[in-house]
Amino acid sequence: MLKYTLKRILLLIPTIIGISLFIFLAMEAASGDFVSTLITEEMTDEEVHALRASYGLDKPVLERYVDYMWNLLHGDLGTSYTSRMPVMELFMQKIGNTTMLAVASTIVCILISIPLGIFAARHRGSIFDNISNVLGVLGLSIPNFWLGLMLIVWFSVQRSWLPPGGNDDGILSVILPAITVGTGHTAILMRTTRSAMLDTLRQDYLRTARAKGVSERKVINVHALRNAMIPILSVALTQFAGCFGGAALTETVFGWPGVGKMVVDAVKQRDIPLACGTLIMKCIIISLIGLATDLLYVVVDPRVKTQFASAKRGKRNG
Amino acid sequence: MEKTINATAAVKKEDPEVVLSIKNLTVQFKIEKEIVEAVNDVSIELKKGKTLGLVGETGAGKTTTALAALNLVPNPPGIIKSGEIRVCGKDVLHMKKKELEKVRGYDIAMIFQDPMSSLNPVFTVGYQIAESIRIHNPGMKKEEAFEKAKDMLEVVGIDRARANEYPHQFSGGMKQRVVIAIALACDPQVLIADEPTTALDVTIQAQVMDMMRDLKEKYGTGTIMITHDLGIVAESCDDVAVMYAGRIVEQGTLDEVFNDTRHPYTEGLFNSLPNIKNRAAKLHPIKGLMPDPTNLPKGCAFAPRCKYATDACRERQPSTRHFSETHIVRCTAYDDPDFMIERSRKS
Repeated sequence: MLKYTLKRILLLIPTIIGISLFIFLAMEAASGDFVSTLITEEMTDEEVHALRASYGLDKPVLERYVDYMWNLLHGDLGTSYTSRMPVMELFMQKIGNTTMLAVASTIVCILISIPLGIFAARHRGSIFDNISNVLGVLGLSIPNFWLGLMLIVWFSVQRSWLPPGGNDDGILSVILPAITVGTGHTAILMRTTRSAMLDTLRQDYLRTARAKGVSERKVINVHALRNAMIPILSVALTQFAGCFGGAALTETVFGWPGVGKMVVDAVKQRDIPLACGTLIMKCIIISLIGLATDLLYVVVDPRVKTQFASAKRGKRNG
Repeated sequence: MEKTINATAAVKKEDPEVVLSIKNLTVQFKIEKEIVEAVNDVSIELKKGKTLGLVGETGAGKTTTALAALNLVPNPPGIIKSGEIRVCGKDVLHMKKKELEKVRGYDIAMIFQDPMSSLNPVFTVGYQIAESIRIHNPGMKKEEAFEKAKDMLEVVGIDRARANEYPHQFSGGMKQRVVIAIALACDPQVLIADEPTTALDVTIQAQVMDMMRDLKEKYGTGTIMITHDLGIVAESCDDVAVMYAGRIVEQGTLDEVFNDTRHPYTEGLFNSLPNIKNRAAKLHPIKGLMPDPTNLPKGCAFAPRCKYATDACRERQPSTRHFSETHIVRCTAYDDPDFMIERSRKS
């Protein structure tokens, strides 16, 4: 287990190299650099050149990349061009908000989708199952930014129950963004729960449990759900990890000061150190969530642990 | 030839020795628009400490009958159309859910056919045995129930230290022992063993059968042994009921059914067995297949495969005929007082 964990963490190194190289090359390929956003009409060519040199942007891209990686090796994520603050510090300011949104939307998602998914599976083919199917497709196909705007219109503008944006009202301000992010996820997780439960409900061991006198509620919520948990867990945690990478749109709509919005802004302004540093940090977080997911499987399904053990044994023998 | 006793079943008073009584049970499965007639008018009585063999081909309705005894017929698609089932005198078909949960596993328990899929893969075997003990002893502490579960493992011949292991860490035979331990955890009055050895290889089969016999003697449990293996029946049963297409065609004591076989189908089953005295002899399987249970013939369901079948057999359902107090046969051919199957003529 420990060996596996270390191996997974070591795998982060090539991932980080790949991601940062890709960002550097992609930003190079895009037209214009950071300095071009600063140029004014009165500037002479010399002035522009000097400005570019002051950011080190006159050097070839690979040289800049090697410099950046050298600094990264020493734990330095670089300094943002725009705000002239260390990237790490900027990231730390925003990550709390992103985490809060991720946790809140995942909770919304789990609370709705797992009970509904179980219910749909138990009453397969019923009116409820069909309605939830339709709602699922609807949840998947409604664009996040549109739903976000509509929620603002309904709950902030027309009724002023909830703040329309920002994060100044604590838990109240996270509700609308969390619902917005959670809706699409809810649809997917509900479908996953439904199909995993349908699969499990057919199993013979549920009959064994009923024959023992286990109550129907426990048969479903303990015996069946625990077995359906692996696909549910893997989808839920992938979505949770996704919240760190992909909530930029919702963050923008709600003016939520999170990491997603920061990256979008950084890319727009060609702020390479900020974009690259933030993405590297996100990449580390997502990988760690992935690792945690794998380790959780062992807790949920004891068979996975045996697989780890036998893989190890196989290696020793071979 | 013996006299045929056309006894009209006298209405008997409830016998306290009877732990399981099934009367006129009919179970159907509704699949899309078709109705599968899985069990038709089956009546069985099981006394304390006795073993009843329920014999028949795959699809004869044995397992469905057994599941009905626990009121566990999956619904939908299964419906118990009519009949009465009493476990230790309690009517399991008209019970509240809570009461039913108290009967299942406590008064009546079942050993399922396939040990590979009958255990929950994510719980330890100790937990799965202890769960049953805790349900039926509500005041009991977790640790105490787990200790009892370990005792049960020992009873079925598994080291008690293995209680913390998961089903996938056990072999097939070991899993079947765990399934048996779960069924026996609360000393049930009635035990239904649904082909308990089919999934096991021969050496393990003998071990499991020996163990079950020992346990029966120890606990005095009434057992229904569902099997298609006549060898197992001969070895372990007191009474036998032969099922065909959802009906019991012949039933009686082991001696009556084996040595005074009356029904052509039972004869067919015996003829399908290899003859140990004449190993060169050909097997005589019953020709044809079991009828489609969604479309049973109007008359006797066995008539299309029966070499003695007459027009009368094809026309109407056979009536029940008593050859002794216990020996009951459903066959129209016996309307002819001189009728005998080949097996009876030989002996």
